[in-house]
Amino acid sequence: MPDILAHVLFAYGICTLLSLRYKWISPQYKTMGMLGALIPDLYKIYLLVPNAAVESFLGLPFDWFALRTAGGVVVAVVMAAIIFVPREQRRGIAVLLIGAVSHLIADLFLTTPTGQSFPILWPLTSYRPLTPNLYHSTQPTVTVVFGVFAFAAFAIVKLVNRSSIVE
Amino acid sequence: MIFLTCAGLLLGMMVISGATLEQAYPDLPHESDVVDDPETYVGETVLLEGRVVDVDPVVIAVSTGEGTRRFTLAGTSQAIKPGAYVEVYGTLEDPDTIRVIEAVAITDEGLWYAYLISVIGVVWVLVRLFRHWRFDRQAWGLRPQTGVTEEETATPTQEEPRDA
Repeated sequence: MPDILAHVLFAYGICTLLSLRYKWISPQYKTMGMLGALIPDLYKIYLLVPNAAVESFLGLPFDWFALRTAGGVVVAVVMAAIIFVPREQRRGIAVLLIGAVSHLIADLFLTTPTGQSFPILWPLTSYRPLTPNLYHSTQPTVTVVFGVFAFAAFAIVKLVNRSSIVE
Repeated sequence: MIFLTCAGLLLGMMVISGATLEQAYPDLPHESDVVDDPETYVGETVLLEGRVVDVDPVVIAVSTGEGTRRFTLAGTSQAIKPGAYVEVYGTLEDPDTIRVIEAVAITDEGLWYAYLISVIGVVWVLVRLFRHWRFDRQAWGLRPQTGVTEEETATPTQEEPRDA
């Protein structure tokens, strides 16, 4: 994955641009979108609690990797709806999902030795799209590029809102 | 109720993915296969991760729970630093040599960068979360904090519908 800051910046930029069209996306909801961008990386729990440890505990095969797929993310976000008061649940789910999906999409471009990315649409299909091998998480340039995108989105929305106020 | 259903569903998915989905790439011999029994996989395409222990030629040490084995990487033109972490996709020519199709090297500094910058990312989100959302004890859940003083709060329609 690009580093987490890059993912968060990406989600911020997307939510900011969407706020032009969907006025309810206030800074609060952008923050939720950014939080959503952290969800797919939860699969890294395997670094602390390895798959093998869970397997021996459950007595069943197990892989955290499901969290880093479309199916896993959707279920995790619906589950996360419990943290909101009822009237915020729909919007909360929407922005969390936007952030999480933006994360998966950014991960599609990661460099891998086989040239294949990960099964993003699982469990619909286990197909692994080809990756253009654009970047990996250890490059500061990647963070900068996503930062520029986030700032551009911020600036554009600011300009548009200002000009609409002047009118 | 939805929460429990989803929790169960997610657990189920993790079990199924554990049974059916080889994490990164399917159908290729991995570290544990090749390190335990390299002779079996000679001539096959393998995918391994290891640490660079020598650079001319490049030699990587691949460790599993069972033990460590060294492989020489043939046919790589990349400048690979000792200590770097390499993902190798290639053909096992003999029990000690991998003919590289593609190798991705990640340095220690790179890993530290990724960790550090990721922590900054998480902290940024948490700070925003505490400023922008508050826990409503009565309704038992999060609701947006009103009157957030961030310059970008100037999404005008949110506070005062202008087109009204």
